[in-house]
Amino acid sequence: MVDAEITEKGHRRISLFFTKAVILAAFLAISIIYSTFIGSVNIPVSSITAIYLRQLPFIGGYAASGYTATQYEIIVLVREPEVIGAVMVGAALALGGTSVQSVFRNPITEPYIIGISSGATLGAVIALSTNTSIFGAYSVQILAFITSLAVVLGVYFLSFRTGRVPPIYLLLTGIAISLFISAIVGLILFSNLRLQNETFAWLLGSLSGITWQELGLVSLLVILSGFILSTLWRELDALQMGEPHARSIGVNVERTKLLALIITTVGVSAAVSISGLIGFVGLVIPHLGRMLFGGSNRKVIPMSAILGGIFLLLSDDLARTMVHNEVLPVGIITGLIGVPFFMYMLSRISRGSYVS
Amino acid sequence: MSLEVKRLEFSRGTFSLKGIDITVPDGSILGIGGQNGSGKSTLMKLLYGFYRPDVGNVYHNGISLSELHPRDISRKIAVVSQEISEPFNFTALEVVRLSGYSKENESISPHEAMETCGISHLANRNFSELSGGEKRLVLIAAAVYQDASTILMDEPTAFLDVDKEQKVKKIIQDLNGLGRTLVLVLHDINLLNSLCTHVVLLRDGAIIASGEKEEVLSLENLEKAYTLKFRILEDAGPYKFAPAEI
Repeated sequence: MVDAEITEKGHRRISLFFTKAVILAAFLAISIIYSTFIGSVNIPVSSITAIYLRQLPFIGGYAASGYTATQYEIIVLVREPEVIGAVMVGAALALGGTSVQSVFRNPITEPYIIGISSGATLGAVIALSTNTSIFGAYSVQILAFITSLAVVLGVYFLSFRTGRVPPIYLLLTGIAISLFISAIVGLILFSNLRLQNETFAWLLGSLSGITWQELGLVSLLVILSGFILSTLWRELDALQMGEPHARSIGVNVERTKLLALIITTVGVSAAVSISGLIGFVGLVIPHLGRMLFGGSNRKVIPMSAILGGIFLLLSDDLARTMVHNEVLPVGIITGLIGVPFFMYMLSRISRGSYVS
Repeated sequence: MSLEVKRLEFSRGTFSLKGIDITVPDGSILGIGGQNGSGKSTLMKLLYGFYRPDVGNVYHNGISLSELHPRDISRKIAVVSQEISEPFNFTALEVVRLSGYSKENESISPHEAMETCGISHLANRNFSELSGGEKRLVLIAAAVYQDASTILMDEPTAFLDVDKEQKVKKIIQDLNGLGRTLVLVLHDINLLNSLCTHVVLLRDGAIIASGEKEEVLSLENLEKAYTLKFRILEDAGPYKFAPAEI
């Protein structure tokens, strides 16, 4: 009888989870459509709908017209990649936060802490200052991605202690190396006034001007990293209980840490390479996921990705519409919303309501 | 012999274990005793392969742990460790269920394991909000769920109130009754005496004495291990040993 009761409770929990997940997914879909309808140029709803119909495969050819070529370009080449980009970048940052917080067993870490942000900034600044076109039109993005990966690997190898990488060394090395690289970036910027403006925009983070070309590759990397991370949910759960415990239940601790860090770095670096540094998503969203769905990464990983996508998309909508005829860097918005939101969550967590 | 340590040496910083030879007979309860810093917990981490010995080896049924994948080790050896980080927002049931990571068949369910430890009512409680004693029982239930033939516990009764301490002792004896081999790190001499069948006494990373409890727990060995004189209290039940000066 007790067992039956427990199973029934279990079924209720599972269906509750699916209800919540479906609502979130629907909300994401609505946010995506809604976000393409708003912007600094006013385009009638009928025209946007016509443009959407036009883009459908097979039947698109029969769709009615009723829009101008400029309107078509604004929707298809400006708003759509920006909206999809916001979802991808938001998802990547939230996924990264979930993974890094589990590896470090530390709720106040985020993916940038292992050197991703400083590494990417260094690459971007080098590309901008040398005006290089070594990787074609996307030299800034590609160089940022490469230096970001390189810095994280450097941090990882510098943290080796007798065959293992204790999280505390990884954390401290990450912070130290980040400061060191920021100093180098500061040195480059100090001597170049023009660069200061361009880098400033990078440091604030922005989603405008994303092209389909770069977005395609970044989406692939983000989705791939999200998929692999979600298969690691048990291992990441176990790491949260400490490495001795994780090892005792059979987890290959060092392999899991390395894999999770590489996957995280690839996803987050790819995202950052097209968006610049957008803060607080990676720190805040995983906690929101845990509040809504309980602590296990089985649910937190996929749900954080959706929540991150929604959060950054809505932040970007605000950034595009808050000031008339001006697009604010979205990093400013995530900071302005993210910090009060985080403080609110902290107060809830400390009152013991960190329960689904 | 389920667990065997042969000529093991291990050093870390200024601390080292040397010349460690231990045989854990099948179905025994072996206690590892000694002062703080004598190397008990380090030795335990070597017993399930968390640390790799510098010299020598730990064998389970004749196979060296260093040749086994962590998954295979965890099917043979479960651990209740002292150093646990609190996971974010996990229920007690989720903590127990996590220990099924390497299990091949569902010989015992998480609920049954929790029932064995008398904590079914805690299943849906948040792990972080439990008391220290309740957390310990959840971790023991997790080890029971892992369903390994050998279970290691690091100070299973430390910091527990009398009621919980009795519960834990009872669970240990029940597990042993079901044929499990247990290795317990215990600093308390009277627990070594009342709970264990075999004892190893450590001092500064070396073995003072090891073997059956009756031989090892002599006043002479205890004085060597703890640098303190002991006396035997007659008719004191499980509280046989007391420092000589009180």
